[in-house]
Amino acid sequence: MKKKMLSTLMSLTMVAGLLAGCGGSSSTTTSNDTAASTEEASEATAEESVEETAEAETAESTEEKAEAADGEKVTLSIYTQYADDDTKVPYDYAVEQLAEAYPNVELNLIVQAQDDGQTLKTLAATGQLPDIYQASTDLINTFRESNQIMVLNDVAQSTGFLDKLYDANKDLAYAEDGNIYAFPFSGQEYVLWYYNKALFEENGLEVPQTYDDLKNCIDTFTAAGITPLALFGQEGWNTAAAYDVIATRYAEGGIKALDEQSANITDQGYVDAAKMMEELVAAGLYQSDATTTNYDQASEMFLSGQAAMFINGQWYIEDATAKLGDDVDWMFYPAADAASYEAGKSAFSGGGSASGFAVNPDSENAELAAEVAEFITEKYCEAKVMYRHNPLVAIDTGKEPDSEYPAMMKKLSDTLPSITSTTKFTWGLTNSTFNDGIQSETQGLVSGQFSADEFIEDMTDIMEDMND
Amino acid sequence: MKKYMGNKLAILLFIAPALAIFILFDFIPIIQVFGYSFTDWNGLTTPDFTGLKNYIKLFGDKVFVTSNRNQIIFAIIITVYQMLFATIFAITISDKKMKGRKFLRVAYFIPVILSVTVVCQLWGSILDGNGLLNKLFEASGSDFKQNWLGDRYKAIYVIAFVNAWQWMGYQFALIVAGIKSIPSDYYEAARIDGCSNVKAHMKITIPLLAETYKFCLIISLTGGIKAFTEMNILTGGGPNKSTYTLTYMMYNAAFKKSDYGYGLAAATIMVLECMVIMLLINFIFRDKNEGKEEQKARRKRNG
Repeated sequence: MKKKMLSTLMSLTMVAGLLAGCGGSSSTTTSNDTAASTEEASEATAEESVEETAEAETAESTEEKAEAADGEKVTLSIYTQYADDDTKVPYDYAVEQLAEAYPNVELNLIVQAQDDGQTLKTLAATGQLPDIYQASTDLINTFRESNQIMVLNDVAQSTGFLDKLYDANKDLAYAEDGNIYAFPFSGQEYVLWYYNKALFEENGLEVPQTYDDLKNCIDTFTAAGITPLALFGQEGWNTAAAYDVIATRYAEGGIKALDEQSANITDQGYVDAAKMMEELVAAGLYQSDATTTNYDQASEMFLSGQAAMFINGQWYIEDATAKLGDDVDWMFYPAADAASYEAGKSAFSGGGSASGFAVNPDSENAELAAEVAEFITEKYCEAKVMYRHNPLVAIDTGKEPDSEYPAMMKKLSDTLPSITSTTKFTWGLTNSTFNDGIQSETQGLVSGQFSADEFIEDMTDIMEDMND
Repeated sequence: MKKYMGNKLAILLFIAPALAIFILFDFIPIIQVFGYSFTDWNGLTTPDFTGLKNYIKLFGDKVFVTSNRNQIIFAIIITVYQMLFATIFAITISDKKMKGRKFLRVAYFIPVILSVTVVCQLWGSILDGNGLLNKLFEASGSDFKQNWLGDRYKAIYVIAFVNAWQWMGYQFALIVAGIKSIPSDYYEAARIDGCSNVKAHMKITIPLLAETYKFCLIISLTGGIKAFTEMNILTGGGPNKSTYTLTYMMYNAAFKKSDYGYGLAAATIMVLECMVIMLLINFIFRDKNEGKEEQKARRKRNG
């Protein structure tokens, strides 16, 4: 009898516990109502004129904020990078600003894994996508097919995001089908060829303009026991960039044109670039174990003076300046001859990509998430300008940096108006077969164990597979 | 015992949990892998049936050849290294007169309990271009500095060694357990007959460990075929996919190119290769007298 009573008591406790747990979903219900009312309101406003719509939407968003202020807390999950100062500073600033503008919205940060989108794809496959997530071009394309990414055209319009976008970055917001799927926060970015001025001066070398000059630098540095250029070839994008900075000297479109299939790898420019890279590798431009070197190791080599040159994005300016001060600068990429060098000054490797903050359309608070995603994007841009001294953001923030721009950034800003063409970083490439192929094949070239002919032959096969 | 074995319901009840888990988490996924390998699928949308297209593409892929070559090298190295050293070390510490056998027994097994990532980081630091090994050569005045993990042809041997080093202790433990189960009477009888220690092990220990070796061989060879973690951490499959395996091909196609259909075709081939190896090992280690004995027993019963 006692046993029966005890088991009944335990069962009741369990049921009570379950009910209490389920009761926690009240905040979700509230936000559902909010979302539903927002939808109804937006449907109603759609019938009115454009001007009225804009006014109504502004009023609506204010009302919504007020509603949120009165209502219960809404927690939105966000999947984004949070690894170094370049990602932590903007996020922390955005959260701080969000607390003021949307006091009832809380962000639940899920730190992005460096796993080629594997985690996000798995979350998508199991229907557990976060409310807001940082999406690359590849992910946008994949999720578009499965309808797991929200079209943000209306939000971009109503929040004024499109008006704030720099003209040069307009293309970055739109996907191939003309819709906006993510709010980009990075503007046009560039691959810079950094060099240690002090090491060049100590060894009596001028900044190389031609490949002959570069070979001379390689010989001098090698003889002095200095690695000419530290590459972090363990990361495929860095080897692809190393090829691209040469390819753009021969064919302006670089790897972007190959990705878009407006050029072919068998075109003379790309073949010449591969052969030049093979020559430079054989001459000893990169360290012998470049393909197994990671970013930390290569960066340390450059910053400690063990390597004279380094290839990285413009985001490295801040770190390089902090460590090397006036001893570091970037150079225009060397070319086959002086004329090509001068002509090539307007063509840069790198570029922007249609990646940024995207929204899960199946989120219970999708409308609010879209608005918050736009807000965070703006704040990211502001933080990058103010605290990371990086003016290359997607939108005009109207903010000034908290201290002067580093000399290298000023030089880049001065050069920007003359840049007429850019290519892409690997994360901006649209064809995943090509992206995978160019990263691994250029890694082969850098290793010095794969010939230029093998590179061209393999890339030809890869490009044939691109439309499969 | 007979009572229990005659109770079909009891048998079913005992088997059911394990069978359900096997069907749910092994059998059904394998069938799904096989099914999806005939489709064009990005992992999220509805798959499109494409027939043998993925397989035709796979068999014409250069990386497929490299992957298979790497798997064979990997499997052979880990099998030979692990079984050879595990046997030698197990026999050595089985000798009760040996000093420090308890310490060695633990020492040989320690790498097994370490995480693969830890082991790879450890060996990565040793084998790095400016790592311990090259520094040792440098310090000894030798110019035998090697790009251990970045060499197109040699890297796979180095990676296989790292795996073999870590998992040798596992096979060692199995063989030690096997040796312990052999009655000491056999060795005493052999000693009385004037048999040396080495001969006793050759004629008694090794033949009686046939079942253990069969199991060791299966885990080594299939482990070689399935290899992925070490190359992912140590070389990232590079340079230029020269340290790829079929598992790596599957991972790359599915997660980097969102081409699940192609990746699962590679996975299907890998599963088939593992099955063929298991069948071959079972065939090689089959008990040739088992059939005859069964026939004899049946005749006796009938008689």
